[in-house]
Amino acid sequence: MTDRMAQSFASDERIGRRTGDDAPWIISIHRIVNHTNQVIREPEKWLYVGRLRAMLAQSDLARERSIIWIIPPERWPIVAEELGVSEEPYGLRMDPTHLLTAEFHALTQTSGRGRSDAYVCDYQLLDLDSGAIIWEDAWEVKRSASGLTYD
Amino acid sequence: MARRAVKHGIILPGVLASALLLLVGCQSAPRNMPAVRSYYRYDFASARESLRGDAYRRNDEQVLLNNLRLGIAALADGDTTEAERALLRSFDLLSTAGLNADRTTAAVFVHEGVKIWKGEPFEQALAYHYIAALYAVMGDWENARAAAANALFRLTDFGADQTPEDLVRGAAKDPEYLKKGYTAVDTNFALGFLMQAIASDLSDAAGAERQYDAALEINGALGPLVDQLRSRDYDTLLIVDYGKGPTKIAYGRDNALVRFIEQDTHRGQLLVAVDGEEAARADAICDVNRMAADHRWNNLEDIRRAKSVIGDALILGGAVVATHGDRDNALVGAGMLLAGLLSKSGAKADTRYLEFAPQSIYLVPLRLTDRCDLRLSVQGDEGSTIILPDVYPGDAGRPRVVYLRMHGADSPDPAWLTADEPLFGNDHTGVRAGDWPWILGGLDVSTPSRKTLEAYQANGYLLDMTLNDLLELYRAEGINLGSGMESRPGERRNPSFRHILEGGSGLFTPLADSMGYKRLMYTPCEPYRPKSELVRNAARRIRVQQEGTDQEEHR
Repeated sequence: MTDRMAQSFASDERIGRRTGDDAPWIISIHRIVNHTNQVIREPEKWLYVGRLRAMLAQSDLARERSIIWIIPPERWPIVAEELGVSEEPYGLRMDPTHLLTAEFHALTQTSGRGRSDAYVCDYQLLDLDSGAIIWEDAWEVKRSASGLTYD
Repeated sequence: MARRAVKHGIILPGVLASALLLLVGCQSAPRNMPAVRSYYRYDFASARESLRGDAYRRNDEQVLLNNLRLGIAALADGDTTEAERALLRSFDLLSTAGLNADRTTAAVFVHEGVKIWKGEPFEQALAYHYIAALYAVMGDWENARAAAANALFRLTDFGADQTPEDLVRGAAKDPEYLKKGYTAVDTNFALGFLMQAIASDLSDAAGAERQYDAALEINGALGPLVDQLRSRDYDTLLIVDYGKGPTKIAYGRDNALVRFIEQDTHRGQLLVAVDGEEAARADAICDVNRMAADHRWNNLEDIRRAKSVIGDALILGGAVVATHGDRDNALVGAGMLLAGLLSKSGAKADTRYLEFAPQSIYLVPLRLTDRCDLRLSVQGDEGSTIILPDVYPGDAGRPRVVYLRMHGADSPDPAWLTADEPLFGNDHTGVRAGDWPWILGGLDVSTPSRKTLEAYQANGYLLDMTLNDLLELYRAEGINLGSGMESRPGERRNPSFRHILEGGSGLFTPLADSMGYKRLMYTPCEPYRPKSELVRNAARRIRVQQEGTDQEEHR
């Protein structure tokens, strides 16, 4: 998904014309907002954010477009514990220039043969200076649960 | 009929084989009476101990109910970590099974090769309610909303005033009756709509207004409550369970059918006084006795099973429903054999149920503004009185939620329920003036930290100690910091969920104003008896220090 996200990012005009020599954008990934009917524990949400940050930080996007991906530093202990890492990532305590928000929505389908939840994750990138949304996109995430029901 | 008997005779081996197969997974496991007794004595710690092994380790057909029981007991006890673990396991199992095509709920499902009993629909709805309540207590309104939404599945309505016997007859006459004889109707679970509406509102999710409207449509008397909730005119929300929910019994021939029988029947308003002044009189939002008696909230699994095992003919002939009735002679052989098989296998209907369900559930929004003392009681039952001193409120956007479990008249009413002075300092109260650790002879059970050590030192104690020294005292005693933190191989984990004030090895502060907090912090107990030389010496030094101070003061 991070590949698709990187592609989508790069295809945006403003992001696409950035180079590795530009002043860095410090993008803070905000917590996941859960609009589904599935319970998602707070540590799980931050784990998702932590993984996303780690993958984006390692992607070409970070280097080629001069982007530093961070999360709110006060949440780092949760992520560090969940990911089993100790070292703070570079830039964690820098002031963010942008905010990436993520919202999970569900398209829940149920049947007698179990339950399948199709989630849509909406992302938005906000410029903290202007408050403008400078990029947004959404991806479907599948989660299926097994379990045969008997009525 | 004689021909049918012959037919039964021919297929009997097959029927018997099917019956045996069905019986294997259908016998009710014995009820966990120690857990139930402890729970209704307000001894939630012991109830949890009785349930924990089964809930954590076993993946059998009881796994959902055991986790639900454990989660509810832990919620009452103020241990949100264990409550979340157990209730989330329940949530995963419930939502894994999903819903039927018409969004009604299934009765049984197979998970990882195990046939798991899901409870009656009303128990499932209550399960989702408790998960929502847990997250509300934790201030996690997103998850509270998500959990509450799941409680609003549709119900199977076979028509007005249907008795179990009517349904049995219908099922016996028409093999498709239980599958197709009903209408899927919208739920009447007003509590579920209210919880979802509150949580939607507070988590900025859409739909709160619609959900409040749905609750009002079910019960128009909720108007004043809904108005207060809609306008966010509250900073504190009480979720109160009262009384013992109905019990499930088997009845009829071979005890093949089940029904719920009321245990507590007292219905009264919940009276709430703030600093001695009456602040609210609340009617119950949910009457579990009524839900359990309503066929729409039952999955009729007993009838399905009786049909499968005994057969339609025997049911229709009255062998199941009536204790007396004419039976076709030709059926006697097969019928009695099967009935005998049922009896021999102890295969009466499944009577497992959620024993911790209350009789009534109340929601009470309050505007407290400042710290205050609360007094709660159910009208007409003085023994139910609980006093909560020094309750702090939340605010309009983030109200504080307090969950309380009040038992009915046949439960004891221990003195701590109405005690108004905490006996022990803790993480909630902070270290009080003049106090020092309980393990050294003081009355403080705060978690050791730099802050608590500084407070002890400001009180004149442990002046030569570092935080490591203080932690070493607890280590030397084998005390685990936090609830359930024992992780050494070969060591029992259960004692670490029990507080050192109650003889366990855990040092923690239950959620403030929970029943567990009230019980622990307001119940007197014997002084701590150190096990290690290190702590004995440290306690001795404090005693000597005090004696010196006393003598000086005397001079």
